Amino acid sequence: MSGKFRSIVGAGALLALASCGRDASTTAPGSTPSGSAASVAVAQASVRVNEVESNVGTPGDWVEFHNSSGTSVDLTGYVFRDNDDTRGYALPAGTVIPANGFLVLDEAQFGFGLGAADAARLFAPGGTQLIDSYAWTAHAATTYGRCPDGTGSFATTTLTTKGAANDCSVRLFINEVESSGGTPGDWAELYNPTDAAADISGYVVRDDNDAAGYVMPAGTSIPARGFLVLDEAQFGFGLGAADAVRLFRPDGTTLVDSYTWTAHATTSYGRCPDGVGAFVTTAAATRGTANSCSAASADVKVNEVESNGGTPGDWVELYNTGTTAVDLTGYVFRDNDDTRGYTIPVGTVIPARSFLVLEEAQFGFGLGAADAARLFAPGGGTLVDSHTWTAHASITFGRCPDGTGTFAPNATSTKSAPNDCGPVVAPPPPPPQTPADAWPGDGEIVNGDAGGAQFNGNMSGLSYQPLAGLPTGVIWAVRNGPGTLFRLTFINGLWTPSATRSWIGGKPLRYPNGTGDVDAEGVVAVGNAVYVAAERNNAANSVSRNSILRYDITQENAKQLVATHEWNITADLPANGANLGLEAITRVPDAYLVARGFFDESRGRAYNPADYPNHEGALFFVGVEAGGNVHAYALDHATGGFTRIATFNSGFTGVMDLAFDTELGQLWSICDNTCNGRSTVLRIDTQTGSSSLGRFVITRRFERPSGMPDLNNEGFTFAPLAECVNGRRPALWADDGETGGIALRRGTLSCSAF
Amino acid sequence: MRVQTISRLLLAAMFVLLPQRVSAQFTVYTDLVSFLAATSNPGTDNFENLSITGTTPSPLSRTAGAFGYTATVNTTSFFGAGSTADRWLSTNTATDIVTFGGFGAGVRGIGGLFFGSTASGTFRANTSIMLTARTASGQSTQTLLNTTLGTFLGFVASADLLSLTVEAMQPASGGFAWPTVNNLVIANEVIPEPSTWMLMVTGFGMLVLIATRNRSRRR
Repeated sequence: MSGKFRSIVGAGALLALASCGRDASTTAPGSTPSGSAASVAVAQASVRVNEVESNVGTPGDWVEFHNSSGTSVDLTGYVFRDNDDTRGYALPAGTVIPANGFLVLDEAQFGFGLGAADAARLFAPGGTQLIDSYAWTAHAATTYGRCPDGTGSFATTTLTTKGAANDCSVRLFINEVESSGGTPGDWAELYNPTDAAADISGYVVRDDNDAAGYVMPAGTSIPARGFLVLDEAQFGFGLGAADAVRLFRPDGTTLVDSYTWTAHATTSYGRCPDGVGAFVTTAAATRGTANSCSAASADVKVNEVESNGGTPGDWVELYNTGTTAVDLTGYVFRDNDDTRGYTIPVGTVIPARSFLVLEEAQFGFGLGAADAARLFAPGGGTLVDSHTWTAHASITFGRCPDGTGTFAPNATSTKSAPNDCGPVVAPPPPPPQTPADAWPGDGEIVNGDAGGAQFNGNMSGLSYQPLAGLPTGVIWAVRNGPGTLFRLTFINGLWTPSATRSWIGGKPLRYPNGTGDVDAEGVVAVGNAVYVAAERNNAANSVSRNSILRYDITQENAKQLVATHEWNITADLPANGANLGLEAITRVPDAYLVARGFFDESRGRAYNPADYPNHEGALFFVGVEAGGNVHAYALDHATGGFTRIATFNSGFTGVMDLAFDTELGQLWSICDNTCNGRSTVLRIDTQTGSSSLGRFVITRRFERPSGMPDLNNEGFTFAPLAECVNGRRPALWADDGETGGIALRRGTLSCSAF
Repeated sequence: MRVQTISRLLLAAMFVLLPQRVSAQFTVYTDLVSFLAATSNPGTDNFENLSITGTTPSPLSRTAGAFGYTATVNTTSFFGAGSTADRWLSTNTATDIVTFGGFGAGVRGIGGLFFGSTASGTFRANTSIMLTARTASGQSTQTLLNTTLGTFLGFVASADLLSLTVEAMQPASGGFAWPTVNNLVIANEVIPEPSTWMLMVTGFGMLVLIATRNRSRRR
């Protein structure tokens, strides 16, 4: 009931109070300077931003200044800012940086965090005159620092040296290790990532035994961006199955780099990519050369070649025929000359069913009238695909159809686009399929996010979580690479990752030991936790690691999420490819399972929750891409154990997401464009006498909404019945390919049971 | 007849007073001085002990002078906006609604500075804020347009306040707006001075006297 209002002021005549106690130390640009001209001049000459920690420092972010003069400098009133002009921290009275000394400001002092793409700026008193600054676009693995202190340019430091002189020594890496059956014996490879040769005289190499070590002879150096192999015969000890290689500075105690393993690799252990990447089992040992980082993807093809007078020069077009993006880091492109080649740079990715053009200006050599275009796996030893010709094409050479056809002269040049294969030939008719029903919702589909490829692709599982007191809940979304959990809020008709301050940009997902890059494919929210289905660790992406991981989502201030639990069910599942494992997860409450007489296949009788302690009142259903089976697990949250209760098929050869509707008691299984975007609904069979009594059976099959393109949709979720309007409620799909820059698409779903 | 006249007067007085008892009245003030003049025992929470380097879990139990109160959001946490020199209470999620409650008996006035802030916790211009004050018998909703750091709004109710909610109206462009509060003031209702009571009693006596004289003249 609305009360009786008696406003004592006219509408629209709201008066503004003068702000009391405004921020005296947060000096905005344009305010009156308070420092003396003399001290400013000294500071300008000698005080510099010297080192920056922007990511989980101790106790938080920090910035270090260096005074390169022989006298101390009073920094009273100087203002420190990040890249935001609207805030700043005025250094308190009496703040002095000693002669040739350092001054550190901690996040707790200046009151704001430093971001992945941010800046550290020092202004003279008053906040308008910039003294020095440094800006960056990504967190450093260590810190950013000047070398030498105060005068040099910024680079990623070797070691963090808060409040002390920067460590300007050359950063060297242990890059590859052969511990079993090398030629002529075990060996370790070092890598120098810099553009200058590195003198490593006196450096010490040890395995896991501190008592022994090999001291590099005087004059030993590693060329710029080059490798140095140390053989067992040199360092005088063998490397074991569970061992380590450690590189120390000449003092014998300062560790430069190390790698520890617990079993011999079938090939070798190597960083991928060289120097900066994590250690993985390589595709092949590459002693003294760039690491062979993964089995080459057979999906990437040479697709079109311009060898004569292209714009701006010769070029080669690659095409990814697969349904997932391929990282081409380290792949090598060559013409018919084995003595030269172009190594594709770090971070080069070719999206699914997309093109990538290599220009002559990149690879550095022209293509001749009788020549070849050859693509090799990282390391350059394994041919992935090639095309050879004996005369220039009048236009270009290209495959028809793209990726799979044979090469022929093209009618037109179609750089970065599908090849012009002449008259359109009708595609073969699709294989007969059982007709499915029309989508039980509106056909109309609209964009669900703001676009602009803001997620950088790879969006996968979705899970809707209602919020008490609000008309719309949140959606939890996982990206499978880099593994990230996003919290999405519905604002102005779009699901946005940027409406919750502590979740902007999402949170990286780690395994329980705090490491790894979780290939997060499915997600389900349960109270203050989310459960993620993952098929592998992206840092070792050739190895299956089918896991259910639990994360505490109340860790609002955490910059990354470390799993509280991991249930690795790989050994319990049929073997499958590392990229064909878990894709989906949902939670089915015991109350539903018991009420419908769910059959426990592990015990051969009706499911009884009491049989499975600490399983938190529900079973978790996971879907596998290879084969499309769904497995129901009881997860013991106390011991980390698990029991597979049941297995059934989703109705598809591959399942991409699962979503259990707790209100209507039906399980949704979603397939992507390998099944034309269809979905199935499954329920527990309760018909007496049925051979499938107590088991999940498919009750309906649906086509995708008529307005939905046939996309690589790997995520699906829907709102609760409370949001129904005219018998429809919101539904959302996630497109792994982020087609057209859009990862999320909105539609509707019926509010009735099937 | 005299008894009849007095009864009519009392009946008329009841008709005047009845709506106030069934449905509480709210008086809205847009400047702090007027608000303070209409209340007593004001206490202010300037949020100066809030963390501004991250989030703080909801709910919060806080004080404003002698008054204890709670602050909650719909999701999980608050966000310390502003600066080290002047901290503000804001939400971690832009669509969250801040609810102040748990005031205890006798609290009839609440006000503060209400505006919007950005993702990084700085002031956001051109934000509209919707405020709703509730008692057991009614509510009053006010929308502040284009708020500034000094935009004040205060409610004084004729019954004990149960809650005040603060919500940011999301703009169509220019990024989201997070609801933000500074210098929250909680107060009791002003108790009339003895002279005011004397004036009311005298007025009522005059009414009775006039009625009595009218009755005598008709005779």
